[in-house]
Amino acid sequence: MFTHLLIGLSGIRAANQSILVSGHNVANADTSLYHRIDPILTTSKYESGVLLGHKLRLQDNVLQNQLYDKANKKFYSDTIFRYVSIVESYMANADILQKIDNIFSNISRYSVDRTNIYDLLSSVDIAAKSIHNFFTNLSNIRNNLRSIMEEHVNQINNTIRHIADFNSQRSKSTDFLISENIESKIEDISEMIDIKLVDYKDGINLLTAEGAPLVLGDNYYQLELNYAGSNIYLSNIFGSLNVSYGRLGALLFLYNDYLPRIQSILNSISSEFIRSFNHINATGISRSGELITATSTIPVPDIAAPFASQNLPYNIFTGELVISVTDNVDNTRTNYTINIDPNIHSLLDISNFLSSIPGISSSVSSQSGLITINSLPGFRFDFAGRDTVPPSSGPISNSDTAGILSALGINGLFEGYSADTIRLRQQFIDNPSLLASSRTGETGNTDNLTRFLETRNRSVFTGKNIEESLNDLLSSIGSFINTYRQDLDYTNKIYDETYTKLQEIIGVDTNEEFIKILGFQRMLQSSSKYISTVNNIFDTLINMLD
Amino acid sequence: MAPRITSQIVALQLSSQIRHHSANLHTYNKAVSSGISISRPSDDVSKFHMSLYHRMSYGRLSTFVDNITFSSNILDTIVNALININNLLTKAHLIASSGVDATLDQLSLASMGEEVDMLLHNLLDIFNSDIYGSYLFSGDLLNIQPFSITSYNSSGRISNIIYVGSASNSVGIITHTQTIPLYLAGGTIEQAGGNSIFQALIDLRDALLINSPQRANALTNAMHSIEVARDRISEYIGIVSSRLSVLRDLQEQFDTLRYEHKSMQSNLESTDYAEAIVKLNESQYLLQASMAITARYYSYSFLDYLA
Repeated sequence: MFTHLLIGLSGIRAANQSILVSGHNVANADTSLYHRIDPILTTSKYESGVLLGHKLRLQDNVLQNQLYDKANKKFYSDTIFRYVSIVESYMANADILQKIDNIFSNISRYSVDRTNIYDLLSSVDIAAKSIHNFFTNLSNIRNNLRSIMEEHVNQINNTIRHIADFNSQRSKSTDFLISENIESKIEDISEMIDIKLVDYKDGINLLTAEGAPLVLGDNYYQLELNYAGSNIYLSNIFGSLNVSYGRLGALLFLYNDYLPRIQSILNSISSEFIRSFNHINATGISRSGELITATSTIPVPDIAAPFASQNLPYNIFTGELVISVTDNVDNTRTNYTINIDPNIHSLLDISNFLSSIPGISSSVSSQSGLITINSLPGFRFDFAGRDTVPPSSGPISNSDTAGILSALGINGLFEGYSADTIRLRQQFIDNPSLLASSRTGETGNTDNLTRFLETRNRSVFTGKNIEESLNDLLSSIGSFINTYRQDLDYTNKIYDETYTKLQEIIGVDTNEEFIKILGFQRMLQSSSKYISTVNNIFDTLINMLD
Repeated sequence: MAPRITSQIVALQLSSQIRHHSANLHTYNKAVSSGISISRPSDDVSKFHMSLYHRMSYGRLSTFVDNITFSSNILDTIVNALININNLLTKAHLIASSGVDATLDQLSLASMGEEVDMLLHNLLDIFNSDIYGSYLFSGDLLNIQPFSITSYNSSGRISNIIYVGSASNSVGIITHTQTIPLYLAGGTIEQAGGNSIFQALIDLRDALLINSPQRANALTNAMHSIEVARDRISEYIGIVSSRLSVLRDLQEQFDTLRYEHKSMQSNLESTDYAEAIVKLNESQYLLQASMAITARYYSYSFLDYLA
């Protein structure tokens, strides 16, 4: 008869344990990637009742791996879209194109309204600052990306250590496996880098998409960020790792490729713009007349070495520089031609050439790498290529075919040579009339203004139009964002679909669980009633003895 | 068998719908409140590109129109100055023709000579007049007073005036392909037919002031020189006026083009209110529906039916 009681007890025990499991499911219904557990009841041997045979943790490895794959593609697109949108927003707000256009508008206005010189120089200053600020903003984004990458790498390292710990302990208890929601941790990693799960030892074994181990059994291989020049790459003890997707893949792409590319394009455009304007200003004459002094702004590292070996930001070509020296006393003007070969001549050579010209002295500082040209008392000089006085062979159309004035920043409008370094020279802010508007020296002559205006349609050196270049840059950023916006929509939908399908298999439907709980409750009540009935039978049998 | 619908699936779908409708609502709200549908390239790359073109073209044309307005002011001032010069010369011619009258006594002639001397000073003032700090008749040398007195006679009257301005006209840039001569090289105007206008007036004045047997001849010569000068000035008035007329025509063309570019830019950038408001309402309804469904979904539970 005691067997009867044990059967009843087994029912109560199994129902109770099953209610616990369902309760656990209900409690975790909203836990991300929680795997539902089904209590599996089995009958005891020899008709001795029921047992909670085992707990079935629902899973689908194919869908689970698909989810990891979709997660890293989704977060790759998301990260790229987010940061490139910021770049676009900065560029739209900088409105460089409009500011460059304002310069040209003010140049043509200046030709008819000489009071417009302040607006003209102000528009040049504003455009230079906009270019510089946009470039700086890109650099700031890049610096912030580096911090974010460091945080992500720390997060990945913590998670892979956790997975390795899990692997080392999983054999100790089945319940441990259940209590750990390890898939959500793997998904955390898959948000950041592209990974794959492999069979190697017991437990979760993780490799990068290219096969470099991250976790093998209870060993884990920490990632670190390495800096090579201005680039960052990811590595662990097996060497450098290629990360193509996930947030980290996107951040590496933006940091190493996209942002430097935008900065490089901006630098090229700015560099050409600076050189064109500096060349025109250097070979014109301002309202203040000829020069008495001019100092370069772009340093030459080795003043005695040929220019070609100096890796200067601007090329110096084989050509000529014509300097005109005016005698203040009799107003005669003499032109002197210096032949320049960048493979032979150094800054010191040029300085010596200039010093050999009557009325001119030149010096070079080996410390600063800059050249200073001075006129001797009673003389002035310019590079406008005007005819001599008295006239001889006529004016020279390009007095600096070597491009040395713009390459060294002599008598230029801007300091610097790139978007990073562009700045209107302080002397023009202090004295706007230093802008070289003429080629003849007569204040109403607008030949040099016409040359400035011509750069709107073509550059002096490369023939590239600045406005078209900036427009192309803007459009390319816009197209890039649109591509990733569509990609993000697509990857989001695919991710959601995959998540839904996985949830259908592993997720918790609380209604279903409550129905089960009601069933177990009924089972418990039945077993209890059975015990009570058996007890009554016992009582009846014992009373029969009286 | 129906798929298992978990609370996470429902939450994912609902939040995805709400996020989608919220984003649309934000977009249409922005478009309706700002009146602009395209503010950055990614809003619509090709439209942004075209809109930028129209915006830049409008800006350039506005600059051209400003240049025309400013140039027209200068040319108007020059025409007025030339008309004044012409009037002065007419007066001088009248005086010269009156001076030929043999019945006039020396006092009357001297008085007429004084008047011519005043006309000479007035003429010098007009030739040396400026606008916005630039001399009208100094050509390229805008900041140099073009005519300068180099000598006085024994009575302290002007005996010689020379031109120190530029030989070439100052050119104003109207558009990137069109320029216009603005400040004129006064030397060419003043040297009418090889004779100096100033010298003609000096000669006339001296002929009237000094009692000389050659007075009649001198007056006749002066009258001839003044007539040549007046013809020359009239010719310049015609030239400058025709430039003004060209500028006015250009301004009209540019104003029309400006309007067209502004209109195109507006068509591309501006919100289509009818469409935006319909879509705004649609997004609002969809968002409200999603929220209502969310609230309703979470109000149902099996728990409600458990004793």
